[in-house]
Amino acid sequence: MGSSRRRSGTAAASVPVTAAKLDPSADADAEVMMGGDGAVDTSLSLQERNKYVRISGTLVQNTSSTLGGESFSPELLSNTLSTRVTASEPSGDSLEFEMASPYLDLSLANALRRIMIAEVPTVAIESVLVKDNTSVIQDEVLAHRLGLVPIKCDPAWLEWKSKDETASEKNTIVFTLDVTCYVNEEGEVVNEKVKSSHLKWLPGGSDMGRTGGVAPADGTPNDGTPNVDNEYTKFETSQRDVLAARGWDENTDGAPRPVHEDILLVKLRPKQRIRLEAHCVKGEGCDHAKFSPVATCWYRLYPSLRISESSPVTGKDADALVEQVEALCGTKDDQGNDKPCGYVKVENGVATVAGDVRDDFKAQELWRQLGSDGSGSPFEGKLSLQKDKHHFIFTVETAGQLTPQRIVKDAIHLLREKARKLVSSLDDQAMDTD
Amino acid sequence: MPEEKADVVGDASDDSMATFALLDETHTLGNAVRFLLNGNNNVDFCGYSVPHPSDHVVHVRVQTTGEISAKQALIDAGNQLVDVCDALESSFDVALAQAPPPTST
Repeated sequence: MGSSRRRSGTAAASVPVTAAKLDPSADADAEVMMGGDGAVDTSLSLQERNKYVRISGTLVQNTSSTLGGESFSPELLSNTLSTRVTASEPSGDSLEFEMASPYLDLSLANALRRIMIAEVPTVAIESVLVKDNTSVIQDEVLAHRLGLVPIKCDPAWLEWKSKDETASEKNTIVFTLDVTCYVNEEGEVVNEKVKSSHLKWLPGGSDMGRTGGVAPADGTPNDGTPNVDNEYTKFETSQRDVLAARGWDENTDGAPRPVHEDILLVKLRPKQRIRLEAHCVKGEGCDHAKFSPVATCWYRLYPSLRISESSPVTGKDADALVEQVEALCGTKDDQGNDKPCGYVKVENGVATVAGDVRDDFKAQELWRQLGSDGSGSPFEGKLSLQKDKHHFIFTVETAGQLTPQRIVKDAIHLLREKARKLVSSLDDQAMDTD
Repeated sequence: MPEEKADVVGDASDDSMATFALLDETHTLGNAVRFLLNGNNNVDFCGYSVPHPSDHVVHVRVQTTGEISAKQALIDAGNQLVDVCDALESSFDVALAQAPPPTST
């Protein structure tokens, strides 16, 4: 095999491709051409090239995603689309699901991913009014830390607030935090740790800018009586009614609050005090990462193993291959019983793929390396890892504000809204010019 | 707010070809629309670009075979994207209804 054609190992992916293109001795099985989208493996049928990205060693082939000249229609997609939830956590913090259709393109999957990260709105602390801070943490640092605390408040309950708009019961959630550290009669230090649970909702709006400058002397949160005469917020009716009109249910949803109660914000020493108000607004991740509803969200393509049909792995090589995979995956199951090699078996002296490597990244990596050119292994150019370009495995990990199911739904809704806006703006133009 | 969202950039004398500027949009919509336009047999060429990363605008170039106008091709792509989203949502709803019980990993 032409081991000089392509070098594996540390070389950048583009290097072997170029070398292969220049070498006239390239054999038919691994003939490589440079196209606009990278390397194309002409030994595969057009259908297979459209379906799979092929990886062996550092060489990546057939990356372009085309419909092969076929026209697209949404009906083709909806008739062939299959979606299934493959894993979810009991905590509700993450969701894995697959979407597949020959007409489901990377660009659509990527649009969903990008929207989930940057455009699905959530509520977060945007401005902090500090009245008292004798801790060692500077006001700015504390404000930044507060901003990153995930807030349990459905964004649908609030309206968008522009920069110069007045904060009202419709667009702003106000939290107060008043903690003093002291030594009690037993000599214990109380309130040494200021945690997110110290943030209390003020349904009546800000207490700080009250005309006359009076905040409740004992620091107890106000009862929700609207606080109209106020420098910082103009609440005209109780926020409870406003939120309830937009779907909030106090009994099931509970008061707006931090998602986690035990986030450490600051540590205090006796006689130090923090008194502040945190004002939350609705925002999106493209503006600031604190608004992103996901810890992260990603997709990967469905992987599978492949052994070349034109130059199969046979005889002693086939046994050696099984041995290599067994060495990695083990030959015993959890109970200590013998188990056959899960991914490859020998039939009539020919090695064939026998298992699904979806969640076994070690096996995928072994296969990729064994097929690498220049490795000197007997499997050079015979083994490759392939990934289905139209079968996406999404994982959505929420930061806690919204359920992952809701984040996906919101993302689909937002993409549809984008499309509608595009159409309506083009339709409007026709009316303008005519 | 359907404000000016899609402008035509440059030469607009031949309606079978145009470059549209989608304001306040990113790769998210640009690439999705490009895919849908490329799946239209009446479209000869289509590509998109973000001319500058600091400007929130996407340029979509459409050249049709002449059967339909470039604008109509983009409108069709937008309508198709709405239908695609409907398909994704109903498929996802079915998947949620059939989801296996949660397991810890």
